[in-house]
Amino acid sequence: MTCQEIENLLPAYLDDLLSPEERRSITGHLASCHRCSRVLKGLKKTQKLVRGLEEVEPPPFFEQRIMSRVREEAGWKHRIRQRLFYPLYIKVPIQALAMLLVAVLAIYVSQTGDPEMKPPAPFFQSLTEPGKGRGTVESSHTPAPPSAVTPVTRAPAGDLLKKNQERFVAPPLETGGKEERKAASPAPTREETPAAARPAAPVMAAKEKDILPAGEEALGKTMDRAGRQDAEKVPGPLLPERKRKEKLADAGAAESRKTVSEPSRSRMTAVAPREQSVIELTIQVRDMDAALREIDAHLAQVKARILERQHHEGTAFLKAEIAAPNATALLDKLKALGRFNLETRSLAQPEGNVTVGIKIVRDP
Amino acid sequence: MPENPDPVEAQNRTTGDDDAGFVARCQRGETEAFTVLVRRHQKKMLNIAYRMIGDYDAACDVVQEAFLSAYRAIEKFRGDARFSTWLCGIVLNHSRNHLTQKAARSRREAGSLDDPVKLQDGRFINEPLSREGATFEQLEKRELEAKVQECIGFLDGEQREVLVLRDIQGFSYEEIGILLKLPEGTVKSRLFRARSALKDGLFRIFGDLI
Repeated sequence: MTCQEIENLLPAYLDDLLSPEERRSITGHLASCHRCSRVLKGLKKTQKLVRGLEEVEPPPFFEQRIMSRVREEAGWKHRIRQRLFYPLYIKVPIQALAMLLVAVLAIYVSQTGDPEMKPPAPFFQSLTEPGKGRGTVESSHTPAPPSAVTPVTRAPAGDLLKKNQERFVAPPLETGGKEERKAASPAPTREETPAAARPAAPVMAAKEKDILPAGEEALGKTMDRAGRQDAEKVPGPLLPERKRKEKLADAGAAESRKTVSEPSRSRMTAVAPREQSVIELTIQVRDMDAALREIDAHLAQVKARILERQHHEGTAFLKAEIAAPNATALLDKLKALGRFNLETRSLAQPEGNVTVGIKIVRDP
Repeated sequence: MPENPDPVEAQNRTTGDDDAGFVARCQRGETEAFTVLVRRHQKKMLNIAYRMIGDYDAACDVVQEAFLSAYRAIEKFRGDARFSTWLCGIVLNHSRNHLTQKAARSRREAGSLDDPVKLQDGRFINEPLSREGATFEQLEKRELEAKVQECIGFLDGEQREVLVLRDIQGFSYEEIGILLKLPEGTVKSRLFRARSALKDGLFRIFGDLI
């Protein structure tokens, strides 16, 4: 063995942990190697020094200091574990009380929560449902005061409210006759009225009812002034007698439309984007039956659709719907039947249909 | 009249651990039983900590914390080893933690110019107590012990643990193996290297005088 190997084995040699052969070999080497002997001597001295180190003594009251900390720890443990949680007669009521407190607190918070914490459902509904937006505009609109009552509201016709509803709903003319529209218009109106605008509908009706007596009362006084506007706006089945005396031209009708108050117009434009085209005329004929047959023939030629037909003594009334381009041709043919008087010609749209009201009066 | 056998003593006889009875009482919540354990082991644990750390006051603090940790964890002690061995392991852990924190602290604060610097070959330069040429007998015993303790402090941590446990505290190789979770062969080889390193350190201080 080399000196390095011997040197590595010397600690074990000192502890007598080597085999007898190794021990004999090392003993023989140490006898002849001064360097290894010196290393062994140093190891022995080191071991002697280390084992001779004096023990240090604990400081005074070291045990008391340690036990003071231990008792403090034990007291904390005892308080937490045994006095609070361990005995069931304390633990169970405390937990039950805590649960009750949490539940009450949760209910209180949920009931007294701020409104901004609630989901903004109405906002999204108004965005996703266009009909409600229109209803909101209508309901938020300030109705016209009685002083600004429009000729429409002053119309003596009993079905004024229904006609207004027809304007608000604006059903397509192709859907059928007047009766069909009357029957069909209220239902869509109710369906299209949003939830937010529903409370406003009775209010509007009530206001219009309030307006109506005032309008009727003022009607007798101001009919001469405003009657022509009634004739234009209300294509009633039977016109008043005084309307026959008045000669209204298309320009006059257009002028009367300008007198419609701004709130009413804006309301109509808001809810009824399309205005109905109307032509009203009176023909005085000698032979009533022959004139009616000819008128029917002319209407059939322009493919008119008869909406209403009334026949009383000496007076007949026809209401038909024709295509707007055919209106001029029809009027030319009707002029040949007798004394022709065009009372209203309101072509709101050059295209589409025109409602033609023809009054036939026997010429005495 | 025959005396009734003490249950604690009976348990100690069966487990071979004199502390087993007191440990069991502590586990049942008798705090005062821990006083006996502190009284029995405080000096030994303090010496282990002192030889590991080299600072008496710090060793006292470490031992105090170690006893507190032992009390907190005493319910987990199952008696697989002697209580003193288990307690010694706790003291060693706290000592290691203290040394780690101290090393980190000294790194942050930058070393003093008077601190010894360990070279790559294991030698130290600028050693404060080095007295070249002074005879071994000329050093007072107290100073000599301080020198030896300083050399122990320069040992590698693992070697220091084995040296302290075996050569100073007299633990068996088996106990050290259990304590450090090492095979006995590893413990022995580590111990022999520790002795050689300590011898070399003392040679550098005292020269050929030892």
